[in-house]
Amino acid sequence: MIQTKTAAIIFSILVGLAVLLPVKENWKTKPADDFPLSYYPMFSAKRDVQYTVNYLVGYDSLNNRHLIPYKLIGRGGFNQVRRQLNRNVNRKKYKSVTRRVAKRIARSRQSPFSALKEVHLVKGTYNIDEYFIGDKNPAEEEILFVQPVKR
Amino acid sequence: MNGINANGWFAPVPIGRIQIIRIITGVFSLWYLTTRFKMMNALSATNPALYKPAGVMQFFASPPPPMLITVLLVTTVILNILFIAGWKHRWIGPAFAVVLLFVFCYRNSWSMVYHSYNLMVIHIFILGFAPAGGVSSLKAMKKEHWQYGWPVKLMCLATVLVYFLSAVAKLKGELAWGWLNGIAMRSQIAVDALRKNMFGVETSALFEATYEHTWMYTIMGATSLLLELLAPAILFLNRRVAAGWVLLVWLMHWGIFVLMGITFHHHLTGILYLSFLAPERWWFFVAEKLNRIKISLRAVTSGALASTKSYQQQ
Repeated sequence: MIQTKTAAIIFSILVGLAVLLPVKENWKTKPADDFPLSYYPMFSAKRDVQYTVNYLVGYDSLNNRHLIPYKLIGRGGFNQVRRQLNRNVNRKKYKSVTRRVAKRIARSRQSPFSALKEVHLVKGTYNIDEYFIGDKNPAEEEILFVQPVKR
Repeated sequence: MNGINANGWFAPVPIGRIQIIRIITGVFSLWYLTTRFKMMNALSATNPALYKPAGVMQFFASPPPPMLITVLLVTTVILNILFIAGWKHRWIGPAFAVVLLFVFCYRNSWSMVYHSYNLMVIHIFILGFAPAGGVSSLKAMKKEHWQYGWPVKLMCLATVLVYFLSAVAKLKGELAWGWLNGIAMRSQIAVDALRKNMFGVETSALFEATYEHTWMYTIMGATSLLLELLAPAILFLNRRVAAGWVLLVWLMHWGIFVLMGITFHHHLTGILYLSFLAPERWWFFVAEKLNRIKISLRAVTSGALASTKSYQQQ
């Protein structure tokens, strides 16, 4: 425990510098974020009028479409699961991801997921303005993998 | 000048301030650990290929064994309780600060670095190494000493630096001063909402309702950037200005919650900003009021007893 003024000054300078130091990431070509010493890049990226996102959709026997919630995709919080999915898609591990999710869906007793027959891993591109003004359909949707749900 | 840093880094403050901040921050971290215990414990079952060590977890090139994570989590919860109690703070404080750092770095080592609990971890790190232990009586809480002031000021410094860093990242990013444009801010919220929709997370109906009112986002974008950019100045300005800044920043996080559904619990509860305020004064105020009520109740009770006695004597 810190009990002298000298130790308090050294500790204060070290903590202050440690918190401030990640600012240098802003000048790097490939900045890297960390915890708890971050350069806080959230909301700093420029967004285009279109946005592409990887996600999973399920279809029941009547061909009704249902978005698969993140809790059925992976472990952790929503953003963590989304990033994990992106990493898997970038590594082209379509089959293993979709199969794992299909297995979880097969075990689910929650409606409507308990009635799903098929899971699709997709890459959807949306026009942001159109999406929030009313048209919820993707401008483009590429199916990366299809996995039947086996019960 | 009567700002937060008035009378120097070592200006004496009442011990009650740092003790109250320690207790409230400790209760908050305990709430987090106990409510996320199962989820954090289950993280060890995640595909090891997704492990990307953050902070002190860089000592572990691959994910630590699940058993070690369970032991770490249980130890952290126990130390957290002792930290709140202020028991043997000389040893418990630093130990808790370090294990909590490991827990949160582990939490952030699975492909996503969150930005909502950085300051809680930093604040507890400061409190852990500072003389913030014990629980004092009301009278003792008013005792002033230089040892109790600097950690609170350091917490304020860390907080304003984090806000400042957020502003620098925005200005150095692709958006730069375009952040002041309402469309840029709205597009950030829109992308977040779109992602959430695709992953079955509920989003704010208010955002869709206000989507076409760009002027609202211009005001919010400019205000938030200014609040972040000017944050360090708060340390040198009048305490009331600092309190005003705290209020506006707190409202900004509530705005983020309402529009984006992002719950920065540490910010929304106001616990993050305790170091800018003087929470011991609220405690003194409540305790004095309670004391007065107690005295009046005693007077009423003894008066009633005396009149009963005189009635019986008659």
